[in-house]
Formats: sequence, C-alpha cells, structure tokens
Amino acid sequence: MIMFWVAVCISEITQSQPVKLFSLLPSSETNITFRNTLVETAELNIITYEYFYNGGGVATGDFNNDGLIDIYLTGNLVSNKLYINKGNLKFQDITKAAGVEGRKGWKTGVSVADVNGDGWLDIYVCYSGDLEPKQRRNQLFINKGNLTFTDKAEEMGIADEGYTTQAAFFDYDRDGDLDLFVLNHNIKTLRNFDAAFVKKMVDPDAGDRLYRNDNNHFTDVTTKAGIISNPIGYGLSVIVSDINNDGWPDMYVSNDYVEEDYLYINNHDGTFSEQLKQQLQHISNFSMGADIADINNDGWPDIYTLDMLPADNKRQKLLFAPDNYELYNNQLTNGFYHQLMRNMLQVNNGNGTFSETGQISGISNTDWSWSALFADFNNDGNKDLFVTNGYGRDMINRDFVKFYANERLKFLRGEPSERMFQMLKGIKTTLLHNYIFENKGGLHFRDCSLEWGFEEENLSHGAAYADFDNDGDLDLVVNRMNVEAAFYRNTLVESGKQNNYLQIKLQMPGLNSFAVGAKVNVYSGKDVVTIENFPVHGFQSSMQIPLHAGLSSSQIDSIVVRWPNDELQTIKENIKANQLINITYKGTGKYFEEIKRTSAIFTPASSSLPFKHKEDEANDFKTQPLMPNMLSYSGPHIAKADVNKDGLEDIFICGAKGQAGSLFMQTQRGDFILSRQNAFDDDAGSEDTDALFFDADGDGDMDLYVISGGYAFAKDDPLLHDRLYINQNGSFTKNKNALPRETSAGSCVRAGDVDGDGDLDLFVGSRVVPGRYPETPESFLLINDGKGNFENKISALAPALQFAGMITDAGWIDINKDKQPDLIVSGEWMNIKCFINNKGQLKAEANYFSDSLSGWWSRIYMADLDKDNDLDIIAGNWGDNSQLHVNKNKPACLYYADFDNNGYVDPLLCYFIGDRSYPLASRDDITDQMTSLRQRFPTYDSYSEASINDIFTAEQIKNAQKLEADFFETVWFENDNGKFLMHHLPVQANYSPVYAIACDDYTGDGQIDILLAGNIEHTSIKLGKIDANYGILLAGGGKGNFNYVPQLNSGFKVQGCVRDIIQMNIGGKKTILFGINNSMPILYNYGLSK
Amino acid sequence: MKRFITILFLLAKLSGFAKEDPFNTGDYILALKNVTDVMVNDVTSPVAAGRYYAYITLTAQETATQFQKEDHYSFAGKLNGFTDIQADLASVQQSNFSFAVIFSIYKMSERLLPSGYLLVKKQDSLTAIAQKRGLSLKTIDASKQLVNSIVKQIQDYVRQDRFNKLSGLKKYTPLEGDGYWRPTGPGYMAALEPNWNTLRTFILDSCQQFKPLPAAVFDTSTSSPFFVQVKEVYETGKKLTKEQKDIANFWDCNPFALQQLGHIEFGLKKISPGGHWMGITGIVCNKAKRSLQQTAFIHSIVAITLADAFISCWDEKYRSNRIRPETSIKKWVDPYWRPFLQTPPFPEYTSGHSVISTSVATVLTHFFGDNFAFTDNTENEFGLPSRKFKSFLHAASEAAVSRFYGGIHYRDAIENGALQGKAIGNYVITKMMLGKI
Repeated sequence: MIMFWVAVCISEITQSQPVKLFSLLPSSETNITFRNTLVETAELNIITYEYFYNGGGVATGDFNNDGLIDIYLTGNLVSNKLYINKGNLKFQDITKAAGVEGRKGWKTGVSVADVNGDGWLDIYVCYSGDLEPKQRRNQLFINKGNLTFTDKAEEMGIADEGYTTQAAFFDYDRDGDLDLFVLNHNIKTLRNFDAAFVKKMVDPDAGDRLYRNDNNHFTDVTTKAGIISNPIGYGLSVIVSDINNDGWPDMYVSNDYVEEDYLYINNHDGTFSEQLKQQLQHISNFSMGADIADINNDGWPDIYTLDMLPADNKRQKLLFAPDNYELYNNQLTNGFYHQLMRNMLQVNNGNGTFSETGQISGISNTDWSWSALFADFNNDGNKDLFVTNGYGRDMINRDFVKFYANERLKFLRGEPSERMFQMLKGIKTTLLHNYIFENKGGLHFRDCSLEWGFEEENLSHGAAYADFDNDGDLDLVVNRMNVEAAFYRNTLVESGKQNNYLQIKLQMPGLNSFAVGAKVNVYSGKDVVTIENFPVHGFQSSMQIPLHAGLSSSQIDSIVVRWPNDELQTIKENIKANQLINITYKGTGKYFEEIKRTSAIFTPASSSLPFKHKEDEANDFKTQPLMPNMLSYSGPHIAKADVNKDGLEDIFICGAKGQAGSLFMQTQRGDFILSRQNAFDDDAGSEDTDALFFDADGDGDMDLYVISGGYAFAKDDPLLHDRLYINQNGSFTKNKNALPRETSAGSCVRAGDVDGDGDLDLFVGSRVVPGRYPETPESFLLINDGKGNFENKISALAPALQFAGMITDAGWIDINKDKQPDLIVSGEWMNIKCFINNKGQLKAEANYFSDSLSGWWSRIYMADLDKDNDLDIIAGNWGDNSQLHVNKNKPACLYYADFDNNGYVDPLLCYFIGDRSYPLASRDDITDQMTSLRQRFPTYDSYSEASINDIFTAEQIKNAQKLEADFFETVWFENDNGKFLMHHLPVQANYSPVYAIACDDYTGDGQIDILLAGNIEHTSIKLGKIDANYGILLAGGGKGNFNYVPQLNSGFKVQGCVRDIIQMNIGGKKTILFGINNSMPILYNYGLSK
Repeated sequence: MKRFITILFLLAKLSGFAKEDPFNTGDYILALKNVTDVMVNDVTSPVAAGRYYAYITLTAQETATQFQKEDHYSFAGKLNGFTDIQADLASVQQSNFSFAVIFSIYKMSERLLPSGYLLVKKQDSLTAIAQKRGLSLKTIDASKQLVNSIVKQIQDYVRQDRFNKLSGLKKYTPLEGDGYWRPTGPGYMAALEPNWNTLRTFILDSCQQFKPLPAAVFDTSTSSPFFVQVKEVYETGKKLTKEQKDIANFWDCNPFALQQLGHIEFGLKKISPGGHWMGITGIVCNKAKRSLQQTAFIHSIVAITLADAFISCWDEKYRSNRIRPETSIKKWVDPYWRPFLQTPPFPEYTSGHSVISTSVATVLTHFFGDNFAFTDNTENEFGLPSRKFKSFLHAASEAAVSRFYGGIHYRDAIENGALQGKAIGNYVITKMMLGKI
C-alpha cells in the first residue's frame, strides 16, 4: 500500500516538473569541478591582452579505449584537466598522473587526434598570450596507452610559437598520415587597415601555418601550400570539411575584425586556393566560432559562423555604431569584402556558390557567441544547433565608448595600466543564456533554449558533445568563465520519446587510425544523413568520438563510407537502428565517382547581349539616411519586340543615370547588334526604370515608352520626364509633345485599352518622390487619342489610383471576365490593389485578395499556373531573410512627417523585436537626423528601450503619417473565379527580395514552373546586402504546389542584383535573359534536351 | 576709462542693486567652465561648440546690458538678423544684475545643449548661493523671469540661423580623385558638418568674405610645392622633439580621441579649440581684474568671432576638400607613418586652430594689448602642464604650428589659416566699432 502511494507521489512529482531535454548535472554527481578561473590584474586583463575573455576549450574522446568517452578541458591560466569516464556519468580527474596539466602560460584550444597512428588518442594543446616565445610553444601530449602522456611537440616539429587559438589535424595530401593546420592570431591591435599591402605580409607569430607530416615529423609548408599568413588574420576557428565533395579536405578559417574569412579549397597537389570571395556573397564581421555540417540533408556540407549580434533590442541599441558607408566601401576596395555583424548560415548549393540564410533560418542573433555545434540532439534526422555565448565585461557598450571610459579615467590616478585596470573593474558584466535550436527541416530552426534546459545565464566559451552514458543521445560539456564547467545530460532516450539513431565507429589501418576525413552516408527511406569525420568543431574544441546520426525512422537501408582515400564501402545487411556499430576499412577497390548528372535544366547560352548596365553609384542615404533601402538601383528593365518585323525579337535595355538606354537588333545567328539611336543618346542623363514596346500611334509598328525614374534627382528635375519614341522604319524619334508634363519618378508602364476605343492607353505607376520618401507619389493614367498623343485622365477616371502608393509593378487583367481590362498594382507598404474597369472608369475594389496582406511587394507576374484558363498572379515581396520579420500582430510601421519642422521628411521605421516594436535606427542615426531628439536621448542607454511613443509625443504621432507592412513573403495567388487565393511557396522563394519573375514549362513536364530572381545590395548597413538568390527555379507539381529545384539541377549561378527577366527565342533557342544591375546581362538556354 | 567705470557704478547704485554684487567675474568664468564640461561630455564638435559659446555668451551679454541705462551696448542691430531684445524695465529693476547674468549662462545652455539638463542642478545651487549671499527670493525669481524672457527671445534668433536645416542637407561623399579628402583612422568617421557654411554668420557678410589664399595645387611629383609640404610633415613627424610633442599635445583640443585595444574602444575627451580660447579669455579677464559686465562683453565678442571663424574655415575646407597628411603620406611616402595626433574627421585646408586662434587672439589683443602675458592652465585637467605666453599672438602662432607638429596639417594650411583668422578678427573689431575698454 505504502509503495503504491510512494509511486503515486513520485509520479506526481516527476509529472509536475516537465523534464527538459538537457539536465544540468552538478559536480557533486559528475566530479567535474574544473573551473576556468580568470583573475584580472593590472598586468594581465582585457586591455593588456585582447583575447583575455575568449575562454577555454573542451575535447572529448576515448583516451583509454575502454568504450567510454573522456573529457579534457583547457584553462587559460589554471591548469588543464583530464577526466576519465568511469561509467554512470562519474568522472575521475587523472590530470597530474597523466602529465597533461599544461605549462604555465596562456592556454587556448585543444585538438585531439591519433597523431602518431598507434591507435591511442593524443592531445594537442595550444598556447597564446603576451609571453616569451618559448612560453607560447604548443604541446602535443602523445598517449602512451596507459593513461600517461609525453609532450613530443618539439621533437615532432609542431611546438608552434605563434599566438595560437586552435589547431586541426587532417590528411590534406591524402598520403595516409595526419598533417596539421595551426590557427594563430595577433596580440597587437591592427584594425581598420586601409592598406592592402598588409595582406601580403607574412607574420611569424600571428600568421596561420600548415605543417605536413612526413614520417612523424612535421615540416612547415605554409607558403608553399598557398596558406595566407599575414598579421591581420585574427583566426578564431578553423573547421575542416570536404566542402565540394571531391574527396579532398578543404578548410574554413574564421577571422575576427577586418580581415575576411578564408575558404581554402584543396587543389589535390599539396596546395590550397583561397576562394571565399568567389563562393560566398557576404560573411560575418567578427567571425568567431564556426561549424560545418550538412544541415538540410542534401549531401552538401553547409557553413555557419558566429558573430556578436544580440537578439534583444536593448543590447542591440547599446552596441550599434552608426552606419558608416565610407568605411564599408573602404573595406571593399581594400579587398576585405562584405562583412556584416551577425551569424551567417551559408547553405551549400553544391556548385561553388553558397546562399546565406541565417536570418530566415532564425539563427542569426545569439549575442557575442563562441561555440557553434551542429549535432542531432533529439535524434530526429536533422542536425540541431548549440551556441555558447557571453563576454567578460560590457565594454563594447556605446555609453562606455562615449561617456563612461573617459569619466572614469579622468578621476583615477596612478600609472596608466593601473588606471585602465581600475576603470575596467567598474564595467559591469552581463550574463547570458546559451542557445540551442531544434532543426525543423526546411532551413528552419526553432529556438528551444529555455525549453531544452539552457536557461542558466553565464559566460560560456568552448563546448563539446559526446554520448557519455552510451544511451544513444548526445550530452554536452561547456567550458565557462569563473564557474564550474557545465555538464548537460541529454534525457532524450530515457524519456521514451520517439527517436532513432545510429553511432558509427570508424577504424582503418595505417597512421590515420580513426579515419579522419572519412564521410558517412546513412540511407533511411528517402532520407540520407551525411556526417564527416573531422574532430574540430565550434570554438577551441574538438571531438573524436563515434559519428552520431539521428534518423527520422528506425529503418536503415544502407550505410556508405567514403574513406579518406575515396574508396567506398557499403554496408547493407541487417543494420538495426539505435546501436553503435564498428566499421573497419575493407579495401573494396571501388572508388567514389562523381555521379553523372542529368544535364541541368538551364545551360549558359552562347549568345550575349553586349551591354553593361553602369550605375552612377549614388548613395541615397546621403539624402535620407533613415530610409531602409536605396531606390537608385532598380534597373535595368528590358523590353522586347520585333522592331523591324524580321520575325526575330529585338531588345531595348534601360540605361542607368548618365547612360543611354540601348536598342539591340537580333540577327538570325542569335547575335545582338546595337542599333544606334540619337534620340536615346540624347536622353542618357535620365535613369530608365522601365520600358515598353507598344504601337502607340496605331501605324502597325512598335513604338517605345521609356520611364525616367530614380531617386538621385531634385524633385522637379526635367530629367524625370518620361519619353515616348515613335518608330519610323526602325528609327526612333522622340515625340516631345506626346506626353503631359510630369516629373515624377516612375517605376512601371503597362499598356491596356482602358476606354475600349481600340488603341492602347497606359498606366504609369510612380515609385517615390525623390528626396521625400515615403510620401506618396502621383501615378498616371494616360489615355491615347489613337494617334499616339496621351492625356492624363487619372483624377477623372481613377481617382483612387492617382495616389495609390509607391508603385512597383502593375498589370492589366480581365478579372471579372467582362472583356474590359482591369488593373492590379503592387507597391511598397501596400496591399496588392485591384481596380475594376467599368466603361473606362477604374474603381478600387477590395475583397479580391482574401487577406489584406500589406507588404513590400516588388514585382508581379501573371500567368495561368493551374491551367484553368485564367491568369494567376505571382507576387514578389521582400522575403524573410532579413532582420525584419512581420506578421499581422507584429507589423512593421513607417512613421513619417517633418518632425523637425525643417522642411524635410523624416521616415522612422519600427519593427517588432520580441513582443515590442522598436525603431530600426540607432541612437546616433536618429539624433543626427532629428536634432530635436538630441536632448531627449543624451545617452545610448536612454534610447535603448525607446519605442515610438518615447521618441515622439502623442501629438506628433497623431499628426504624422503611418504605413504598415505585415506580410513579406513571396507567394502566388490562384485566380479562383475572380477571387485571388494566396498560396505559399517553398522557403527558397523568400531567400531575398524578388524583383524579377518569369514562368514557363522549363522542366518540360507539362506543368508551368516559376523562376524568381532578385537580391539587394544597396540597403542600409544595418540590414546588409541580401543575396541568397542565384536564380530560383520552382517546378510546378501539378496540384498547385511548387518544388524548389536545387541549383545543381536548375543550372543557375546568377550573381548580382537581378532586376528583370526576359524570356525569348534567341538564335532559335528558348532563352532566359537576366537583367542585372550595374553589370552585363546573363543568358541561359532551356528546353534543349527535350 | 575710469569715468566709464564710475558711471557704471553709479548706474548700478541707481538701479537698486545690492551693496555688493553677489557674483563677479570669477563666477562668470566658473559658470562658463561648467557649460564647457557639459559640452565636453557631449563630445560637441569644434564648430558646434563655437556656435553654442556664441549664443550662450550673447545671452549673458544681452542680459547684462539690460541693466545699463546709458552706455547701453546691446548687440541688436549689430549682428546679422539680430533685432532688439525687449525687456520690461520694471522687471529689470526688481532683478539682480550679477545673478541674472550668471543664471542666463546656465539657462541658455540648458536650452541648447543635448545634455543641457545637467545644468539644472547648477541653476539650483546658484540660487542657493545667491540666497546665502543676501538676495531675496523675490529678487531671485524676478531675475529668473527676466532671464527666461531674454532666453526665449534669443532662442527665436537662434532658430533662424538655419542650423535646423543641416540635418536635411545632403551628407558628404568624398570626391573622386587622388588629392581629395578621405576618412582617416582609427575611426574613419564621416566628414563632420560639410554644410556648416550654410549657417547665418554673426558678423561676416558671408561665409566666403575672408576666403583664404588657395591651397597648394595637388601634385605628387617630388619637386612640387604640395609634395614638398607632404615630405615636410613626414620628416618633422619622424623626429619630433619633446618640446614639439608638448606643444602638439597642448593644442590637441580633440573632443574625442578614439582609443582601440582589441575589441575595446573608447574616446578620451578634451575641450575643443573654442573651449580652450574661452578658457584663456577667462584667465585674462581675471588677471586684468575686469568687471563682470566687461567680462560678459569680452567673452561675447570672442565667442562670436570664434563662431564666424569656424564658418569661414569650414567654408574653405569643403571647397578645397584637401587630403590629410596621414592619407597622402601613407599612400605616397611611407605606409607605416602615423601622425602624432589623431587626425580629426574633416578636410585639411585651412587649419581650424590656425584660423580661430588667430582671429580670437587678434580680438583679445585689441582688448588687452600687444604684450599681455599670461599663463594658460586650461589643459591641466587633462594632464597637460600649464604653458606661459608672452602675448595672445604668441599663443595663437603656437596653436597654429602645433597642428604641423601633430602631423595633421601642411604648412600652407597653417600660414594661410592664420592670415584668414587675422582678417576675421580685425573685421570684428571694425564692424563692432569696438573702442578700447
């Protein structure tokens, strides 16, 4: 009876406390009492040594080959510790006996590997610090097989004296032994270098180094191998991976500060080529820890780097320096690349390009972060993400920079170093919780930090995972500053929750006994989980443990091992899930062969359009610093028509400001010959934003309407006046009197017979009032008199359309099937709007789009996607890959007014961070722009929690205008008898803003497919360039669904800001032409193989 | 001179002042120093500081002058766009002259400066001291009301100087071409106040009235006058003597010298060039035992000169947009060279310190004479020892050459800047018809 009640009580207790996935075990249970204690003194602190707060590392591996994973931790100042796993999650400190405590000095990363190939795991410990060279020599503790170790670094030639962060052992030359890459940093401050010459220098202490293993002795081959070794490479992590799947290990190096990261591609001949700028579009600024893993199970390793961007508004506002465009461009011209301060997830497209999706994936903001570890913690087949964070003291707080430091130093007396130290001690520390994200698939990660047990706030650095209790799930160890290292036990398996896994221990003969560099694919149904066997992950840490694959089901069809020498070994028989299996190398003689791909759907065309769109490089933020994006980079648009009636379509491509738009005539061979037109040259000063071939004067040939738009003009600049060119036998002359006088900045021109009189009228949508974003510009409805003379009758015929908004696109479509063309318009901060035509009157009608959906709609395209004989609409939008995430309850708002009463419009963008709406602008940006706010926000702290009601008075807000956006997704609308039903598209559609759309049956399967392109480079530095779209092909599935076609299959590798797509026959081949801002167009053929 | 002072004293008695004024020159100087501290705290730019000093000291001067029946010397009608200040005579009679003058310094500063709220406490302690020194609450309140009214009127004057429009004007983009200004390290800050010359000047008839001689033509051939100057800065910088370093530091006057150590950044603050000369003005008014009224007058003239000199200097800076020595030397002589001082974020020609120091020194010479020696201790609080000067022009020429030692200016920017400043100073004297006082 008593037992019954006891059982009930116990079950009640356990039920009332939901068990979190990870359970923090106290040292009283594990005996892991290691603590990375850091004592700040006047001689040694964050000011005297810039990496004082970087913390220590963790290594996991089986040092005594007893099947239980042990732990090694490095302490910066305190001695390192080796804990042997005694089973039942009890560990024994055998450091002293083992002889691995390390020397007096500053210890950093730890890298475990069987360096001498004797089957026992060795330990390489890295040293840094402002100390004598010999105190900085790295150590290699060779495992003698009996839990004692001897330091043989010097003997073997790898007692590197550089300021080392971490090191990685791997077989780069595939000769069967492990070589060594040593990642070093500089202890001198060399920031914001404006001299590219420093990049070519070789620094003996700060430069990275590559050592080749020749018979257990290492030779420095740094320069020979093409490894960069300069003094501004502040390397904080090196991750090895075969990033291009060619069987040879490559490397990613994260560099702090201004020097860009490095992507070293193995050339197979003992050298590497550094290819970062060719393959990645932008990177983290202060890249710290990193990891590489296949996070979307497509077989290609993806790269993730950490930076410093906080998740919450307050810390962001306290941290952000004002946007500095000169500095950003200076870094570009000096070869330092596009660097933005946030975590980056570089999804590998398998073709030498990467799409950065950290924001759409939800893992871009984790504050000052150190370790990134991808591993399947909930055994569901997708690799989850663990991130550690924390910084010793809040000195990058802008109030510290601007006020506090000077205030304190003024009153402190004594030696400079003592004064600095006293000032330092007054700076507070902010403890943060670590992050853990559940990978939900589809590039979506869910923040489970608190739910999975990581609510504790601390300063965490190196971390490592392993299955310490051999129960089938991965546990975590975290090295923390000034508190005991944290041991988190994973409770997944014992909780009974559904999960499946497979652990694989690889072994091979020879000097690479643990088969570092091998790759394993586990096939389970239609899923495949890929894991690479490289031990170094995260920050200053390494794990040489059985490979752990979580699985979506218990069914395993086969395991394929690709050994370091590229031999394949397949295991098919009887593999049960949820166990550890040992796989020893068996020479099969079968080598990996690159799968002969079916040819890609699109192939680069041989024809080209000899025109380079050339921007005038205006910086719109010099006019209105608070705009979110520049508006001067919206071209080129392209118009096509058979101008000379030879049966071949010709092209007019818009020119930027100061560049003439150009007409190219297609030849039979598929070339384009420039047709020189004086009329076009005369108008080179205008910025062409759209062009339309249509028969204006009804004489049977194509005339040309060109919109003069843009932003970098004075409000009433005559260069903003649109042009109508009349075609006379292939010669175009401007009809100066055909159009009404206007100087608005237009975006689109669409022809339709509004009044049903047999000629083509024009809707001209306006984009912006130059210099006065976001005031509503005036759009036009130009009625044709039949002879090519146009009169603006919008106020009479379509009053609601005249100031409908900042129009980006429009289209004529007979929605209600009454044979009168209706009009749909899209715009920024707008719903998509419908205007129904009733005998030439266009009336705004709501209820055609089922939700209000106010967005930053950037392009629309009409096509019959579902083959039901009506036009559906694909609507391009801003996408989800930015800091701005919106929904109905958390819209973005744009307040605008002349708040300062100085005659200028101030736009203030607010968006939700967490549960509250905050301004996007930093304190400096907003007070620079609105002098009246300088007294309201004298410090950064005073602004750090300000929302719109704290910035302006209720009266000011009432008198201001307000725009809202609650939907940023690119979607398609199904035309269902005149009502448009919204359908989502795959996540790739929201990789970046979409500015160009096309449709056709590209795949040749009878279904209409969608092609999306876009990207934006000229955005505020805070938002950063968004460039993940290289040409996104969505294949129609026949049931209104569309599936993303991977780049390797689509064949697209379009880099740059695409502003238009034209589909036409060139040289008899179906061709896609991408109009790219400030660049040459790129052409692809399709439908060739069918 | 003596008769002037006697008249003043008689007038003072007639207006019903306290037997001894509770506040004097020393209090004025202290109050202005407190205002300077707030400006330093806010990292007020050199040009902005000049403008603030001008309006703040103008307020004190206009307050003071309300208490003079004869020899009433308002600046109304003498400064561009500055019309009469109305003050109720009864209100003046109920107020206390010296309290009102000091209080007006704090009040106007509170209104103008971003961190002006920091001066509310100073107003409260001033009130407490006034009571301790014998003023009745009634007098104090009347004085405050009077000051508020004057401050309000002058704020209307302030609002029309087009400062409010600056934030709407196009921000600066460095010009294309080798000889043009580029942002400099370590902060690579955007160019400061490129449109400062659009502000209303106080006395000059336009920002270009005293356009300096043109800068040496940009030329990288080694024998060109420009490049000779580049080498000169380079060579001097490589072998600075202790005295030259001391001089450079003394006149650094950098409101925000950015320090970067790893991920740590902070700024070390000092008074601006204008702040330095306001300090000197205080020192010499004290030394020459000038009355409060004279002190207010002199400070106001000095500050107005300062403000217009900055407008004139900035007008030329953003006309010539010249490259700084640190940029030209790193590019064409030695990529490792660094200037001794931190280069401030604006184009090079002409040198701010050369223009404003010489203009102010010219005006001070007019008030105090050619060989008025003084000891300048304004930089003591920043750890720099006092320096002795034989005359104002001596101090100004040292301030000018300090920029050359500091490695942030070429010689012509200093020499022509000094000429520019001298012309401005002389013009102020003439235009304001300043007799010797």
